[in-house]
Amino acid sequence: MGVPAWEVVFADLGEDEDAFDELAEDLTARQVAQVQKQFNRLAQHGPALNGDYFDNVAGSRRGLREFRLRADGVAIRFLYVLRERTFVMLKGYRHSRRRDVDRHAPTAEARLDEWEGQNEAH
Amino acid sequence: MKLTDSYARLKARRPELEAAEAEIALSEAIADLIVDARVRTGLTQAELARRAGTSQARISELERGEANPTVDTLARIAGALGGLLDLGAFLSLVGSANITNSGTFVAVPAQMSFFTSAVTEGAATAASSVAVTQEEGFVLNTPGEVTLAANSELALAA
Repeated sequence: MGVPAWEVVFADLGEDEDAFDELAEDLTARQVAQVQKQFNRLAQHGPALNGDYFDNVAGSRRGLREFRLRADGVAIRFLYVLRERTFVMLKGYRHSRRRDVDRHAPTAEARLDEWEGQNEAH
Repeated sequence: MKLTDSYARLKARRPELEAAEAEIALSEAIADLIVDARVRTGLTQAELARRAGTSQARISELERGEANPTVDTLARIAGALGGLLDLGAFLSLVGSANITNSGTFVAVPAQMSFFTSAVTEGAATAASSVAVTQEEGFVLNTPGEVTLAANSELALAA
């Protein structure tokens, strides 16, 4: 595998934790490793990965999208935005109901505000 | 934080991720074997599932490398594929040293423990080799060939 064509970054949550760590707390080691493989595929292929992996988040004021993946039968969603060639992964969670996204989108949008503030500062 | 850095930090905190990665690599290798054999037979996933007595969803899951089959499931898939499943290649994945002699001990790496735990109760067992080697694994009872069948030829070492 060559150099990834796309960048995948996770929102920092402070205290040596980011959005991937946060999701991993809810997953088994095997599930974490499977998720990591799918992130690697995302970094390799970007939006061309496959239409089934992506969806829009309806009503998002910041244009959030979701990365949809599965690990050992568990449905997982990661809310993100794409900035140039960087996937900014904001909030991951185990998906069980359609309305879950409504609960997590505000958190993701707040993290996006913070991420953009930090990156503009640099 | 970038993906590679984030995952490296996660691995440092959760050393068990190393074994999980090996297990997933095995799942994907098994998936390749099943896909290859199924395509060569010309079966669809649904037809293979019907012949193996499982669901198309289960076959799809195995072919995507999202799960590891139990010995029983793999044996039924092998039977449904009419011997085209490359069991020699499969056993090389689990560390087979010599699969041609009766009583050969096949050591099982730690990441294969799900196979040993999946063998059904009542499977033939042969523990003598295990007593010598002090390892966990399978003992092959059938000389000259390996047939993956949980209740007969491939025995689980106690």
